[in-house]
Amino acid sequence: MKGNWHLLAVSYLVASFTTISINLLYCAMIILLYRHQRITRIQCIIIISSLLIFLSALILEQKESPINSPLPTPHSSNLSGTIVSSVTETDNKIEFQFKEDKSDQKTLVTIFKDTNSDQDYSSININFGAKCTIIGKQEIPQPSKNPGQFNFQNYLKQKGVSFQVTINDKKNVSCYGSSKITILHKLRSGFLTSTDKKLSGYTSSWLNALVLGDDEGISEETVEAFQRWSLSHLLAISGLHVGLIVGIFYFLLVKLQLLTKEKAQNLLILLLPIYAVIAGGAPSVWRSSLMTVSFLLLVKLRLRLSVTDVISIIFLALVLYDPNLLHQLGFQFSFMVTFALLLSKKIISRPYSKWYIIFSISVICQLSILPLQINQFYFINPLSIFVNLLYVPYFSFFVIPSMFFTFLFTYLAPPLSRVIDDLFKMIHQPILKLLMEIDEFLYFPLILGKVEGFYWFIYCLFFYLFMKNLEKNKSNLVLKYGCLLTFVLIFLAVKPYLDPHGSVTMLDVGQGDSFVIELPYRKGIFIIDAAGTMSADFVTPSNKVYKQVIKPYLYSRGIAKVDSLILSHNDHDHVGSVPFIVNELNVKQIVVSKYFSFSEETLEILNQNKIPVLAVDAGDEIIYGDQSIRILYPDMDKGTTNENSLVFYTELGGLRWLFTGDIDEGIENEIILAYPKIEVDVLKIAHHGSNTSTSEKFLTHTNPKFALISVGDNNRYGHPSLEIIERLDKFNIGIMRTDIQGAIRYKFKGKIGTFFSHLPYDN
Amino acid sequence: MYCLWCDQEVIPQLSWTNLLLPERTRNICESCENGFLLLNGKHCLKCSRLSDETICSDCVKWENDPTWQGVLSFNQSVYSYNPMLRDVVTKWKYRGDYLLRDIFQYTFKDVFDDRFVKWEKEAIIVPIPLSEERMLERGFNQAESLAQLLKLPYQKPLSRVHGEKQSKKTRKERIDSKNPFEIKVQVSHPVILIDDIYTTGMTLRHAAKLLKNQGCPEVFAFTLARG
Repeated sequence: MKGNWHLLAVSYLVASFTTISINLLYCAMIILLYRHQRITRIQCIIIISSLLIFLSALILEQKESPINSPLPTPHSSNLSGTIVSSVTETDNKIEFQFKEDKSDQKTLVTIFKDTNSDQDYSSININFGAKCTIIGKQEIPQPSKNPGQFNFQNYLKQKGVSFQVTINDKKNVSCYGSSKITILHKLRSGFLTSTDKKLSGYTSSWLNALVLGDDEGISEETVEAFQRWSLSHLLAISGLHVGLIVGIFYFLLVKLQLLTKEKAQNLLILLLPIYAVIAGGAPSVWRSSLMTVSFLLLVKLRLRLSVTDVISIIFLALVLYDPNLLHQLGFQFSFMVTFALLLSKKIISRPYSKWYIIFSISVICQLSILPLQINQFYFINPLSIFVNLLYVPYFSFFVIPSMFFTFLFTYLAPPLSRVIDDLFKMIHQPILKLLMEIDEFLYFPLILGKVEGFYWFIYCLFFYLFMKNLEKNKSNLVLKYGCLLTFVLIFLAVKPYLDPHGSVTMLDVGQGDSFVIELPYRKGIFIIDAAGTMSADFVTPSNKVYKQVIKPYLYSRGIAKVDSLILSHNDHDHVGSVPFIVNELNVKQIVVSKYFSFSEETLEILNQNKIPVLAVDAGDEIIYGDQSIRILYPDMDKGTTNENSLVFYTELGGLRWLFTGDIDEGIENEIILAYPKIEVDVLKIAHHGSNTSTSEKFLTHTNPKFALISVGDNNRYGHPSLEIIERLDKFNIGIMRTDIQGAIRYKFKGKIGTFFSHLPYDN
Repeated sequence: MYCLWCDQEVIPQLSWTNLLLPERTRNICESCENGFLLLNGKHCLKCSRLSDETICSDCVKWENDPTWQGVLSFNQSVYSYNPMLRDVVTKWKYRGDYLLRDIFQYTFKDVFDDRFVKWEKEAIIVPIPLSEERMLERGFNQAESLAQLLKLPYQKPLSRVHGEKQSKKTRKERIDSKNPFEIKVQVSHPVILIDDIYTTGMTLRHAAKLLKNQGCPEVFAFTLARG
């Protein structure tokens, strides 16, 4: 198998698709390789038979998986089982995975601490491997309710977790015992708290992230900036960190003559797996630690194996140990990048300048994970290659080594650690500030949206040919495939402009309204209302809805520019996300009624971003290309925000739409009088289905076929009112509501279209 | 697999080039293989000698001589006869390490297929024969064993009269020597002669001349090394 282990790793990857055609194709390829004497008969047999074994095992597992089989009904009350994950504890909660004895299913348990009373939670003995009895109600995790939204259910499923339990009283949990590994988990939390105590908060947050794999302390702002600039790999412990730490450690031991080389190597073989647990046990930590251990062992045993074989064997070992790893983003990124770099050994070991080498590494990394990056985040940041050129060496030569030394010194020479602490702050703060400046002025992401697998196949093909010719030094072909590669990305960016489909989407923003209208050929993007929520204190506006629903949806559709942001009225559940949208996206104009008054804060943000506000009156018409929006109401100041709601009519995809904001029956009656002939197909039910609107008279008059209700699940207002639902049923109007169906999307081409709901209807 | 030359274990290195198409089993390690000089740079189109000119002075001389003009259409060699290759050939040919031939297994065939694609169908492959005495002494015919690498049928229409080894003669002696070959069967197809080394080209031309005199339309040569 020597030299060909990657074929075995690929057969696991292929089997994980469980698509028969892909598996057959791979079999054919293997047989072809055998026929051309590129692999031996035995290798051929091993690869194909393991493909069959993997495939049948994965299919079997899928059938048994809790999500696909009829669920073992979630239990309430007494659950007994074992804690099967490390325990994470923050100021307000404790979280761990728990495997129930009876059903053999994993549950995510979250214990919310009572922050008012100073209770001691260490007494309940929550440790890895502990046997516990938990009183609580198992719930099925929330699935994503909007296109592009993070899917918590899937996320947990990928970790093998099918339920969650929330506990507010520590009396409901009792545990005893622990596993031996707990010592390491305890050591980890001990290290984490002691660095917090001994060092400044700033330095300890970086130390905890870079040496101990816990980035809780680093501000969300920084984490997000790192994400935007493809620098997240520096925040997660990976090959770079492990390599540096091992290097420094080994160097110190040997050069200070503390140990012989032999013994130092033995010690490393012993310590690295322990370090992997202490550093949080993320897939990238395991990958890099296991690879280092393997190389040391190979040298020791005088065995020779190529690096690609080593990584392939580790890949197989990890996925066979835990098949869910394959679906984790960190695992995918780590293996993808490392494998691509190992393949490029000939390219990056050419005798060119250091900058050339660092640059080509940066480019290869970015290109190799680009499909993963876009599938997850929907955008790429082309300039991040250059920022990586600055920050990767900075982290490798300064930040990571100094953090490692600080860590050592906090135990060996505390005064020295404080000196480095100050020094680190002095250097690191301005350099991070520089990144923030770059982020502010040079952030030009290319938002590509969701991309179908077919295009990734093309992309990968060109990338492969590009790298192959780069390796062979055929510069004209390198140029050709480089251009083709860029062309694929450009094509993906302009694809929406070639798409004859348009859509109207009612997002599930909870209790509130947000609609996105996308005209065919990307001729215009309109957003109608942008609901927001409040933080836990009920006073500060929260960016949750924007971050979790609106932005992911727009990004997944490849939208960065909004032609018009139409706001019906100034209530938080309709305009709460406006400041965030305006700050982050390119909004061309805002449309409101004449009788709409902005809050001062919002006005200031609009001015800062120089966004024109178009105030319209009843009877006005907004023309955008060949799309027209007719403003029906309000014609005068009605006093309350709800009554002042902008009511407008437009035609899209062969249907007539009426958007009504939060108007009440009184306004409905006025509209009936003012527009005696109005008829519509789709009515946005006013005020989330409250019984103060949507009168029988209004329904008779407008005669809609479909009713859209944007309403929060279990909201405290009791929307939508049962009365209204019964009324709509009586009129035979098709009801679509976000609380039950998630986002509703009407996709059309020409005058024909279909409604889709994000969740299956019977859910 | 262990390297046939240095005996080190050969560890195949995966790279972009062989990602989708794994390499054939290598029987020589990369560093030993790098010791050979593959003739893919500038060389004489007629005799494969390393040269900046398209036809080297040697070939000009041959072609100006009315006796030898046009006898051999061209010779294609795989490698230049550098010290590394000389060591390998010496061990293989004179010290009888027959298996060393497999070092050239793939390259020999690849270069042949590439160069003779036009004639492969029609032409007949003919290895330069050894005299009976030499055959007894050496145990194998190096030219024939190379011809076997091509995995194509070959014929033996020639026989050789025993004489001094070519390698022991000077250039002048070689050129003045009389034709050592005799023809057993007439050949009416083009012929590709196979030999291990092209030094002056005399041996190959002797064989070619004989074949041509007996009605063969065209003769080419394919050799492992150009001296």
